[in-house]
Amino acid sequence: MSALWRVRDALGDARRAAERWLVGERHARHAVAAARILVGLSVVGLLVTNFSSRQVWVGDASAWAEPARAVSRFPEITLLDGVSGDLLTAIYVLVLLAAIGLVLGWRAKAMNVLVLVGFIAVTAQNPVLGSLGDNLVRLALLWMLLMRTSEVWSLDAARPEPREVDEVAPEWLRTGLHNVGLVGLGAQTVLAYLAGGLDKVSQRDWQQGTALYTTLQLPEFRPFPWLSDLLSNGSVVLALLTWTVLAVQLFFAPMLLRRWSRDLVSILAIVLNVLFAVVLATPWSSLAVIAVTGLFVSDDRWAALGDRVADLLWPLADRTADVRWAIADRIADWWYDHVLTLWDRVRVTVFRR
Amino acid sequence: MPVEGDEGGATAHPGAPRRDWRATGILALAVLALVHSLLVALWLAPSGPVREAAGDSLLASYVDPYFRQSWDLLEPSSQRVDEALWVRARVRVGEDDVRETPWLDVTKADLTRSHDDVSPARVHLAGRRLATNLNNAMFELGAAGRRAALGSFAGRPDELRGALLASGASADAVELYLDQDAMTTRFASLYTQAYEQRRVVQVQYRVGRRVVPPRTDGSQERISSVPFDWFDAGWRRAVRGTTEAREAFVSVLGAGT
Repeated sequence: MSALWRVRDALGDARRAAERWLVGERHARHAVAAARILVGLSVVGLLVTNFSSRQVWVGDASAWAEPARAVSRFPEITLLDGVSGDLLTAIYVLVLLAAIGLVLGWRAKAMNVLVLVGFIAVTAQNPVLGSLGDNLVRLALLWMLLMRTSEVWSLDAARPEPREVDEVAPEWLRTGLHNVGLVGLGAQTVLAYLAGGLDKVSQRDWQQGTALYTTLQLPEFRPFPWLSDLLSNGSVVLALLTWTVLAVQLFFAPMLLRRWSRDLVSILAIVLNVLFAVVLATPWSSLAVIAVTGLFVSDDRWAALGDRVADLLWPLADRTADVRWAIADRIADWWYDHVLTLWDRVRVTVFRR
Repeated sequence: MPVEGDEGGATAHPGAPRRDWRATGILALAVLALVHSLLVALWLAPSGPVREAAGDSLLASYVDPYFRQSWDLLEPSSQRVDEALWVRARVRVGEDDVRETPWLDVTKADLTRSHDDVSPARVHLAGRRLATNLNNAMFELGAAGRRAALGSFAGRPDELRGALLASGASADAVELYLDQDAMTTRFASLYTQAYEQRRVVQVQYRVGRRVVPPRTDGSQERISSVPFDWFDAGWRRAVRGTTEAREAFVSVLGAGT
């Protein structure tokens, strides 16, 4: 009987601890802000690098992919269904601007919604040219809807006081949803690593440390042949790299249990993703992986990194202040001279007020 | 359980900790998030009794499309197969005459355009992706189905379907191939038209497959020395596409310059 009481007490303690963690304070504020910036950059990068070929990728000239599009279950693809080239360009640029807004943390929640819908509408248009990274970006944007991603490192945070319309939910609910979103995206990330690790460990070439050799020989994964050869020609380097990838993905979940091992495995995973972003020419999907992996790097490390970046950028910001103010003045002059003058004329002549 | 801004704790029963419905609600949401992750994990799991018990189609309808993912979501993965796509066309040169164009190596052109590029445009993956999908679809057709696909069915897609079904291929395999065939035919039409002044009336595609030689000590054999296994489909009727689509292909391929 006493054992049952002990189990009940332990469950009660666990429940109280979970509730305290969930509603006490918002966690990982810097890590979540970093995820917002990196996921936003991933979308910006993807849209910019495909801008000149957007018609063949997702526009009128992507009609060749229609049979694959017909079986897609994303309702968002109807947004671009049959639109003219000009309208496609307008929507494409709108999504791009929203992604820039997300990076800057300007009206971050609204930008998150716009980027999510726009990103799906664009990338799901052509399933033949889809990337696995698209799934991760979509999942991150979905979970980020629950989070407060612009509390730091954002234009929203720099605003003197929040607008009332931004605070539609009470504080306890905002905090709780933020932390639930963090749990959801964290679990999703762990699942991705675990699935990748289990898949790899079951294959003989990963066990033997040669799995990356064949990938690095394929022409499509050799944008820089000398770099691919550098990694794949030596047996020792190749085996070390292959096993490091395997170990990081397989042991990612258990290594999250202690703070030092959590930081170690997260930073190692980020370094590997930076490496393969260049070697395999997959920068935007790697950036998305780095964004979600960064959630597990402790918040004080992110804050320290932010301070260091600010210190590095401050002299530059200081030196360019005159230029930036001059540009802002020119824009303000243009606004007053042209837009407001035009508006005054419309007001007087059309509305007669 | 105290919550920020909570001022109603005084009414709790003396001696018993008051349970806050708000904290309980948030905890329930967190549990739902974890249950969701469990469902996604089950969907990812290999087929087996646990997945069957959870209901395969039910899981798929829950996960697809928004939560869809795969085992190899994270790079790098181990890949060993190289594939190639070539296309050519018959263009109208007179009332009843046509001329065959030389083969265009789509994948090689894509690789040339993305060489030294750390973030190549996605359209430069098209040749490789179409070739991969076609090879997979043709594998499902079986040898007799592949022989049927060699035939020319320009303008007669129903006859192609009939020939494939008559070869003994399953209906699913036939539909899969017909979808890939339609996509490649449309792509080949716009691709070859971008290089031709005259009207493209029929197109043909050729897909190749080769495997990276295994790494052995002392061996210097590279994939470039391995020949492709080629498969030529029959001639198919070209798809014209809109003026805007044709111009977009010319622009991307730089064919007009």
